[in-house]
Amino acid sequence: MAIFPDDPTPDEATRALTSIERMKQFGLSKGLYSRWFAAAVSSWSAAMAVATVYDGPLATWSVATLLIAGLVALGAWRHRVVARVRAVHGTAEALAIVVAAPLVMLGLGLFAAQAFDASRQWWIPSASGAVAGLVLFTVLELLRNSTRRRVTGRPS
Amino acid sequence: MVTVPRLDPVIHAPHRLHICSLLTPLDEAEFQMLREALGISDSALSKHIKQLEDAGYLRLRRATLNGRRRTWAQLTPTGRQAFAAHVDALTEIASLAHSSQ
Repeated sequence: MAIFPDDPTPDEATRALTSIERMKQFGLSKGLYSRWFAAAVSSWSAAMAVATVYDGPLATWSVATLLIAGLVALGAWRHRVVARVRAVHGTAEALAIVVAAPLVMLGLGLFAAQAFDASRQWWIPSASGAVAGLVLFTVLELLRNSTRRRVTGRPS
Repeated sequence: MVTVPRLDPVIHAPHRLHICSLLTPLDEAEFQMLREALGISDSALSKHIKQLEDAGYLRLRRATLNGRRRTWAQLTPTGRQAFAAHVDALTEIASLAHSSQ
């Protein structure tokens, strides 16, 4: 086997590979949203679903406040972004996320609003919010895990 | 005689190796983030980035967000290929340790 004078020893190469893996994980942790971020977005959409379905006297104000808070948070988050993870999902998956997920949420909201109009059961807006939040959190977590797995070959 | 794949001298320097490793899973990363991750000065990072840029492994993008100027770095396809080949070479060298045991 040809060993060149400048080549690292096997131990040095192993150490280099370890540090490469560590830096990759660090880069990914900066580029990929955290579980807390997924939880915050899901909680926001759950609150939005409750406020939208519940058409009481303060519903409009609640929706407006949540929208403004969401926009402010989005603006602050854009300033904090220091890395963007590589796009590893295909067109079909992107379409499913961008089109199907909002449609399911909209369908759920409309169904819950009609059910609440018909029955005036107090738990319907809360239940629709809980379902919306859980569905979104699950989708975001699956997306985060599949991105991590495809980029590094490791689950989170 | 088996030939060990040569290591890329541009990538092999520790800081440049770390820059490439950090950028591999990413589409792009901000200059400040790279500086903090590596713990080196602006000028030292610029020097390493320039070397990677000259080799065609990295490109910079400058953008302004609400008046704040930010510089983003990303690996080029050539850079990704070179880094993958470098990692393969390291893996092969590291495997010598196992085969000699």
